[in-house]
Amino acid sequence: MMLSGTEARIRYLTVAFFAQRVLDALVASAEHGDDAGLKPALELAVQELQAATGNPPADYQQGSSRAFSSYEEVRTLDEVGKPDEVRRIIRALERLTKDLDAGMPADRRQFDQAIEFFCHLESRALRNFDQPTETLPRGIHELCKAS
Amino acid sequence: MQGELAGLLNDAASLSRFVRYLRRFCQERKASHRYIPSSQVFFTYIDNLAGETEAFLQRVVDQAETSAWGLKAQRLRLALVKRVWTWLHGLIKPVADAHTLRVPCPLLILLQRQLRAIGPFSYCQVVTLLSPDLNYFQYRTGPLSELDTQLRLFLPNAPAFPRELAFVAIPYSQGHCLFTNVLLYHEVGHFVFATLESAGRLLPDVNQALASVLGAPFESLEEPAKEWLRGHLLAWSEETYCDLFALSLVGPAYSLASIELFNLLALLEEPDSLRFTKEHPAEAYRFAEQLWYLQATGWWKASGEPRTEHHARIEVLASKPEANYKYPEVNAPAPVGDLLIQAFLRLRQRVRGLVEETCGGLSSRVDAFTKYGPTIRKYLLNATVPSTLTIGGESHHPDPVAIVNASLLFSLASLTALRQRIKGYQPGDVADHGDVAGRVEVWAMKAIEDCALLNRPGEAG
Repeated sequence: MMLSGTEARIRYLTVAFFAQRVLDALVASAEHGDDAGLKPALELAVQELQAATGNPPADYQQGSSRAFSSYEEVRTLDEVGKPDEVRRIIRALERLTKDLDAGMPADRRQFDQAIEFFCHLESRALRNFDQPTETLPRGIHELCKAS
Repeated sequence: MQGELAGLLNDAASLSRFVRYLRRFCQERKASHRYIPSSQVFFTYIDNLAGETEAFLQRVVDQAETSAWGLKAQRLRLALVKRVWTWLHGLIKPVADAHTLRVPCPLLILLQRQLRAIGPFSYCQVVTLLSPDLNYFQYRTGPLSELDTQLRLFLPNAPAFPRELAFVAIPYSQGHCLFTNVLLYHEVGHFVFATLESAGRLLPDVNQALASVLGAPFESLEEPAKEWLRGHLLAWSEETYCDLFALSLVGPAYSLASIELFNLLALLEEPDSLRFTKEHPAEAYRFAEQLWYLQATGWWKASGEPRTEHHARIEVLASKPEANYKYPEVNAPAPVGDLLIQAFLRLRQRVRGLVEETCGGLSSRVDAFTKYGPTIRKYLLNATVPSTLTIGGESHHPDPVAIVNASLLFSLASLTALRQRIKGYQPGDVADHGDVAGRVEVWAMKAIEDCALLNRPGEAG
């Protein structure tokens, strides 16, 4: 028997670590002008968020080390932002990447929006770690009617 | 901002005390008890991680951020490290409780030896935990080891999580037993399943099964709903994989021990035996798969004489019609439960194939059991430890898997015959029957220990 509670709890930490990694890079750039880790963090964030919303990049490798590889992880993201909201964040991150590539100063609003989102995501993951709950995802009841 | 800095200091100090306590606890236990090497590896990891965490906490305060976002990120980082320690807290005490006087060391050594015979696991070790729950568990630490890289962004010198350790929990009341602890093989199966990334390998088949049963509505679902459905099929497949993995390594003793435990947990009566849960397929399905394996490998026939009540129960459970399986979880509306089961049943061959890929060449030796089983039973009937058998005038040290199976079958079928040979025998004496059963376990355990010494690895039987 697998200890499902423990298993589920540790999965939330995967999300929290992912959020913290992106957050650290965003804060270092926005507050200290340190862009050293920004590019890989932005690329990672875009890749993971795209995969979690059902549009993985072509070269995306599935696996348990991904940020959103289980229901618990995907649900945590969904609790923070519905697909439209996540897509908005992906666009903000892509704009930041573009500005960085072009050597242009980044739009502070994009930074704030992204930082706020990842703070929220990490807080939610930590909360779910502390108090895991079980909910039925959207669409399952509709599936009953369709079947 | 001053208030935020004070809060940061408080958070860091509180976590520091927590970590120091855990570190000291491990050091004290290590000094006062004897542990198998795998537990010591874990304690060393804790010790090193604690040292690195304390240094990190001091750095956090020394280099406190001044901006609002910076402080927020720093406090979240602290909160995250705290959760890692909260999670480890749940492991430390059960590992510390499982010192060598409380765990079945010969069985663990045998299990570890068998695990190491599987190619990618030649370096692995089994860590046992004593749990307050009356059940066997595997603590999946894989995600934690995957977090190593990320953890090192904050704790640059943090030790790597020992990925080679399989954490399995035994109910504290069963630590001294041999037969029920055969269920540990299933738990190690979870470790093997995760390490081989078997879920990822099954995923295309899972998606295909769901798509074929649910049709177009599956494709139009949002990702959380898809993951929810996949999660069920993967969990049920993993459980089945672990059952077959255990049988491959230890033979029918696993099924017989499962009957013992599930009976104790009242899982074998209808409707419970037909019910799927979020984590498990129905017991009826599980035993149907086990019976298939045992029949296909010849174990069923070899172990069926004398036939025990457990054999009959396995056959009854396995014969339940699949149409009667149910998944009545509160969270799963009935039609979806039925559809999930239909999709899951399509994965049967794929799961069998995965087990074959993992331990195809290692299937527990039914031949050794056939060869040594009758003599082991004879020795036990004479209250003799069956580690050196005399057959045809020659000495043999039997295969430990044959010892486990023959002893368990003896315990189930022939205990009364042994008791009749003991002075003062009272047919209905429950305590005496239990004591003698315990004695058989001790003899079998001793035989396994002796054979580990007498048989060089790889030459057993």
